[in-house]
Amino acid sequence: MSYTTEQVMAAAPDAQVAAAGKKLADAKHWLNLGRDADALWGECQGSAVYQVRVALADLTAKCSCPSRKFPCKHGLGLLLLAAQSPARVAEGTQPEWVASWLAKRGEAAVRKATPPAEKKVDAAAQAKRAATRHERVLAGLDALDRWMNDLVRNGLAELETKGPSIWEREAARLVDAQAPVLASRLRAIANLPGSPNWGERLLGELGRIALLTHAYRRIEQLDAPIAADVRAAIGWTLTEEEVRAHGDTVADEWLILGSAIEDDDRVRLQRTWLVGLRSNRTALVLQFAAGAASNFAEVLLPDTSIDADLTFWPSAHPQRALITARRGSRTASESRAHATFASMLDAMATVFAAQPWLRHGGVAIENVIPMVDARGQWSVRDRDDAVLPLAGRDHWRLYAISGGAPIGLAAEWDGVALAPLGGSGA
Amino acid sequence: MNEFVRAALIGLGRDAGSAPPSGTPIDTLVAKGDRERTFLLHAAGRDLYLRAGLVPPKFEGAPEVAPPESLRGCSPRLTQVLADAIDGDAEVYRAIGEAMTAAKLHLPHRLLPEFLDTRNPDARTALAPTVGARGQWLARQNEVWDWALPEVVADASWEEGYTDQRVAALCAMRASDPASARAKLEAVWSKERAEVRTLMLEALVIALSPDDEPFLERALGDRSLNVQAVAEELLARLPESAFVMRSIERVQPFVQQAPAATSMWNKVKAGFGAKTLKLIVEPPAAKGSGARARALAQFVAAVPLAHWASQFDATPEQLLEAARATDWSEALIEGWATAAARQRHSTWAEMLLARAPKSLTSEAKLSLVGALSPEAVMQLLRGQASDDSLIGAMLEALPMPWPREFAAHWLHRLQRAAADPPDAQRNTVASTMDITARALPLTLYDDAVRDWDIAESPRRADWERRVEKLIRIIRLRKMIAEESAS
Repeated sequence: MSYTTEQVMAAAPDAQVAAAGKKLADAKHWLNLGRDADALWGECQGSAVYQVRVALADLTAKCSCPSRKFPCKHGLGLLLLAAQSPARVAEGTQPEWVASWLAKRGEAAVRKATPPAEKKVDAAAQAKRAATRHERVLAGLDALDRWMNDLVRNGLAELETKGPSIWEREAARLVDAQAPVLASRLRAIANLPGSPNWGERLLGELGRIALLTHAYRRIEQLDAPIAADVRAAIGWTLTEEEVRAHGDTVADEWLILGSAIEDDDRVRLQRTWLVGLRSNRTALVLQFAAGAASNFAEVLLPDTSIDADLTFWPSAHPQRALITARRGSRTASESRAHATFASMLDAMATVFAAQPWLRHGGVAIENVIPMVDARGQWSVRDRDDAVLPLAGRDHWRLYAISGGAPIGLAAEWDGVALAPLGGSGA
Repeated sequence: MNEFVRAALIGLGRDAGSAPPSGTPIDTLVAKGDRERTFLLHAAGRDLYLRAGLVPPKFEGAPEVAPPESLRGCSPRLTQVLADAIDGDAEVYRAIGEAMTAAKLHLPHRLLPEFLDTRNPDARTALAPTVGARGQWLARQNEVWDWALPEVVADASWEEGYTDQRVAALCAMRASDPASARAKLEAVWSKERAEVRTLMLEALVIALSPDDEPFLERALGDRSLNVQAVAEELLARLPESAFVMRSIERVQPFVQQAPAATSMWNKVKAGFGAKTLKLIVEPPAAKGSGARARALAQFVAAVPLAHWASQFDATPEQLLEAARATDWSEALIEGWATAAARQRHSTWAEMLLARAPKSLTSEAKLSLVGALSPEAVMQLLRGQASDDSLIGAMLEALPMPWPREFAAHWLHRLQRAAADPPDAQRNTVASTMDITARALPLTLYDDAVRDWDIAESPRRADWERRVEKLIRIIRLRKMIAEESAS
């Protein structure tokens, strides 16, 4: 496949590795460089000689150095070298240490794809644990409903001066009640009071939470897909094995729209949005990386497409997915962008109607023009002159690229504003 | 505000009645429960209703469109290289700005915000010509970036800006239209405070010409001593000015040639063409010898250097010799040094730096460097004993790129220094790596990027870092230059 240095740099786990990798992207550091349809390889002369190999299907690098960063500077250096000076990395035959690694990876992929042998599970004990948790969740939701009723009885206006601690307290109670996803939903709205139009937005969020507690109490009467959404929105999780076993799998050429990264000190969360070129389905792949040193397992570069099987979490609007098989990547040649906001909003209305607790959906819109007003508020207008706000305070790069001319935009739409994804406007 | 939202903000408890409806048809789907609960479920319905039915407002206003670029854009490859170079290093930015300007390229649009965020003044100066139409368009809309605008110094900042902005505006006006800039200064002259007058008068050094003389003559009579000093300094740079004529007349009684020697030996020497100049120096009367020396230096500084040569029919070297034989040599040398710097007299500057370094303050030496011709600078730098403290200033004084032969000499000097432990310790040599990287002609590319031999010394890591940066900058310059050639 072909890839750009920018795409490779996006895979660097941190700035240090990025800088060190750049330095190694020079043929003078390398011996026995080679490539074929499946892999790249070479030996890097550092304080020792390290054997570096890259599987071209998913750009995963493996190196014999002791670094715990992934990819390490040698892997990154080899990728960069091959991207910048392809002529230096000649076609060749895989040495044994490359072939054996690729073979091992193949076996692992097969193992991963075949469901593990039925584990002995104590079904009775499991059901009992679930029943206990259900009771706890119900008690937690009762307390939450009383608290929300108090809020609307006393008026939301007073929240503006109260600060985020009251939300934190309620969120902690929900964590104790084993409803962690609902707890984070509550934390996420703690910053609303004081922002533009916050009364309306906060009321809407509280309403959707009330709808969720209402739905959970009636979960037995709900259709299975929406029941799965309600359970997920509370915090009941499915293991990847369960998703593999029960989820709906779609094989397609998946176009990568872009990624958003949320970073706190301990964990980085990457949300990558994909669209199936044949199925037209939108998929969201979540990846977590603990600490700055580790990287996301799947390398998903904007404006490339991957030939892959995606298995979806059950939902009334299946969106979150797991990459269960990946066959190769290429530079994207097609787009799946909406021509207008009207078309995008139409599609999203159907999505929100099917799954009212969705936080956002990934969308691409063509021919939009970013704008900024005198107060520093950002927005975009489409070819029909319709205007939607952009979330966030700094979109100068997008603005610089556009220069007042139409560009393509990939973003997350949450019903209020568009949050551009990384790599947007390329 | 919508009634429903208003009710939520003030609180349902304020009113005994039932909660207001959300105004959407979804309300009817909600089973009746207690008041607050029903209200919240209505809010959920309303929220989804509004999201699903959102109709975005229409754009009303004048679209902002960036004008087309007149400079060429970069290839994707160079764009990537520049993106990788963004690390906030001012020297790298300077090199990029200089090379892009020479290549008549503009910075890639996507990288403009990062380059425009540069704070280093030298980097800004180098980058400003390369931001292109798009960069200027952005800078007009983000005041933090207005350094990139050519018209920063618009009339507005002259009329309303802070002092430094006004001085900058005056300097810019002066560069484009000296006479109208002077007229603008004259118009406000009497209203400004002494410090402001001093700073603004200094701006007249730009494009200074005999046309400025009448105004400067008036400034000589200013209440402020600082303003007077600036006026004198500027007038002394105008060789035909009345001030200079007066200075010549005034200094004449203080420095005179001794009567011709009568001894037989001197007559013999004179007969062979060798002439010994002998000066009699009698500074103006003042309290204390320090004050007399200062006054003498000041008078001498105001006199064109050519005057001495013609009056005494002597070379600068002979004059220096003669001065040294008097009790007032330091004052004479100080005066000549000031004059050489003001009059940009390369011969005198070179002679004083070479022969009288011990009599000069470091400040005086630096200003003499500014007066040297490039040939003189290169001559001095080739000398083994060139003054360490002046190396940086001398290199800065050379036009870029350096002449190949000198550049090769300097590069090899650096490479020798890197390899030689005692030399490697000299910070002044190492610190010229950055300017060398920017000024080296690209014909020396292969010499510069070859492996450097770096001596084992406590500063090895520092050298490695500097060498790596030099190579990085030269590679960048080469790539940019090749782009313009392609």
